[in-house]
Amino acid sequence: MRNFFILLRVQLLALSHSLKPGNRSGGALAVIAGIVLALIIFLYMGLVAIGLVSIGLANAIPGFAVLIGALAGVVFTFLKANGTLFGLADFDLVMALPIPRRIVVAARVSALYASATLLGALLAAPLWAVYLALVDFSVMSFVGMVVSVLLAPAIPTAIATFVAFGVSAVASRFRHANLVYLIVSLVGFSALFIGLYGFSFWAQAQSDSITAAQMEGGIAFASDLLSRGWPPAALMGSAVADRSLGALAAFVALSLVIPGIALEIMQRNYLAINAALAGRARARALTARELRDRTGRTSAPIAALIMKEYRTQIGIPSYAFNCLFGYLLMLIIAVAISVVGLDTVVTSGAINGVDISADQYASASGLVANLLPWVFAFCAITCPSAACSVSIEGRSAWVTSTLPLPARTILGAKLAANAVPVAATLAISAVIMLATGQIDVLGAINVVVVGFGVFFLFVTIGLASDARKPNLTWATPNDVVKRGFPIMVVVLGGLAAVTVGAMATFALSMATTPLVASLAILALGLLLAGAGWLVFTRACRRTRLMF
Amino acid sequence: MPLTRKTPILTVDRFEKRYGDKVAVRNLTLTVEAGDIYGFIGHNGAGKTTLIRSIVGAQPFEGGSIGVCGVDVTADPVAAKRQLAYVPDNPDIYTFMTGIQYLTFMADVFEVPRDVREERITSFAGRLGILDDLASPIGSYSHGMRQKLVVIGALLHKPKLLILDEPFVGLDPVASHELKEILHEHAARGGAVFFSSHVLEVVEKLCNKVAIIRKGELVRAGTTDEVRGDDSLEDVFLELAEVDAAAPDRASSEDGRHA
Repeated sequence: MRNFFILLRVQLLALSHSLKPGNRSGGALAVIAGIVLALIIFLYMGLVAIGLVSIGLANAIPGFAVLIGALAGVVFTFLKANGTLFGLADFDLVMALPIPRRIVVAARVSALYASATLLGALLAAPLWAVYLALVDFSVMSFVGMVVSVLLAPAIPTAIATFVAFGVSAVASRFRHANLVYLIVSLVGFSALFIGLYGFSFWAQAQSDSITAAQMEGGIAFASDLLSRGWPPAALMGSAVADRSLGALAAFVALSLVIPGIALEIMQRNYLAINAALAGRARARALTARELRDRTGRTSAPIAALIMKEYRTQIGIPSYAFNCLFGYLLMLIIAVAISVVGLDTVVTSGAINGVDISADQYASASGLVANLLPWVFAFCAITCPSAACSVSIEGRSAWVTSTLPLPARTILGAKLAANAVPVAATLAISAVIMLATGQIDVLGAINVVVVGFGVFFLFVTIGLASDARKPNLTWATPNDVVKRGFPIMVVVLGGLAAVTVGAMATFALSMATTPLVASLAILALGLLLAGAGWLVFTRACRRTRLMF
Repeated sequence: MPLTRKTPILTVDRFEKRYGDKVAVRNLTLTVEAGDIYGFIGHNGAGKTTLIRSIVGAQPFEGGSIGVCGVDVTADPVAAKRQLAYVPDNPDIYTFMTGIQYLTFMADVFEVPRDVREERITSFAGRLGILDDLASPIGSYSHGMRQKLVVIGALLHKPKLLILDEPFVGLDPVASHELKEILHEHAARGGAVFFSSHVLEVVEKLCNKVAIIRKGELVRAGTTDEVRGDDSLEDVFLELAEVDAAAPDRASSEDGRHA
């Protein structure tokens, strides 16, 4: 057991190190952002639980808490298994230690499990708190809470390790695995988003006509779905709601036995699994003609740099996931608005069943159209690839810093690789909505100008900050892509700008006319873009690219 | 400044680099001329990589000056970088690119003419034995293969000055031999090579000039024959190490003054 705890400690240190911010200012900001995020999650999950209680689904809360813990286990393990459990850099070192393989694997799985449990507890605790406070404050509920928080991630963690291995094993067989992986994941996320959006729209449309009997049937259906979707959730639901000790025992037994079996399978096949992942996808040799073709295409230095930026984005999946989804979101929203219609948002002349006049409708319609650019500005700031593009070079940064190119060209390429597609996506989205008659020409221009202005200002601030103090010694790309100071500047600063801008637009639209407000936000968008250009030129003057 | 026959390829004049209060390299002066293969040796942490990174423009420095083909690296870093190529001690390059993508990227950035690219890539990759692997992702390369790729990328634009930091680490014997041949050819064409190494036998056989750095200070410099005298380079180096063991630590003194 001593060896197990020594190895577990090392693993937990490695995981906590991967969450540690790179510098002091980034660290303080990260802690604040983390606390705010935790509070938001806590509040949101608490409100969800209260909502469940208010619509008569209180007994579904224990099962729901197990489901949430399970999802946390799946997501965390899926993201972290590759690198923690297999495909690890220190595989040879660890396997050469005089420690049984079972202990090695158990320590690594336990580290994943412990982290997933913490994440699951954060999500499930508010649900249980509401359940204990409003529904049933009993010993059984309390025991259920403790058991659920501790064991809910156990089975999913075990399953997710095999899924993560499978995905990694398949990916390692493809030369362009990252691109395939990225496309499939983006399609998956889009499908999920469209599904949720569609369901929410359908539910809203149905809500006026739903009867009490239908509501009752819906609740029964939701509970049934939860039970069928994740049986351990049903067991916990039964254990707490029906005071079933048998169900509780079954939940505990399943949560211990299944991971135990998974551990045994994993440890028996550990060497073979890691050997399978170590197999590298190699391409056949280039023919003379192929070599001539590839060396015969020349590009200007800046074009070569821009292409390198795109290859970086596609080549580092977490970079792509964090910086590319916003593009897709803009297009989805534009198409959704074109299909559903902005008129629907203004509820076709009735708000909460109260009829409004033609003038009021026009005013409300203009207000919504004026707020639309801020929605796209929000989406645009979720594509901040340039903000961490210096740090993302990591230990390869010597290549860029020794190139015979001025800082303006190098930083310009990084910015262009981000700004051009953002501008293009905003323009395409605006054209889609304009072509389908959802917005007028001024509205379309505002979508592009305001969206781009907000994005450009904050992404240049992020880029300037990154060029001044890059973090080139990151252990995983997430250190700079998710927790880096420049990214936080873009996201938090952009979010504040969008919030203030939308509120100002709302106030101005109410105080004057939608046209005046439109012209005002157009001017503001241009001003923000101009400010962004000033930030960029200053950064180019100050940056010497000596990392 | 136009390059004449007498203009040195590399001049380092009273170079000084500090990390906070600690002086890493002090008052270092050396000159590398056309045709030189210049070996730069010293123990771990002596300051070899510190000087090399400053020469190639990857790191600022506090004192002195560095010129490449008469161009001051601080005043006009872009022009200086056009004249040189750098091979670092760790070949950390873009793992998401294929070998051929990396090489065409370097060729584009250094503006290598289209009509010579194929010939140069085929020639160097063939000699170093990775021609068949150029279509594979760099992520699938071994350390030695990455090292070879970085060397090829450095040679593509025919630089005047080749700067290499421990270039033979990780290379197989055949590639190591080819690299030595390539360095000889480069010097014979009027270029210059400046490289650091711990393999004293290689330095002794390959270099016409040698400099020894100890705790941030240049202790010996000159032709290889002058530096080693009647002994081997290893004997000279070990003799200096013994002196070093008996001497106080000067380079890391807090005030940066000579002891």
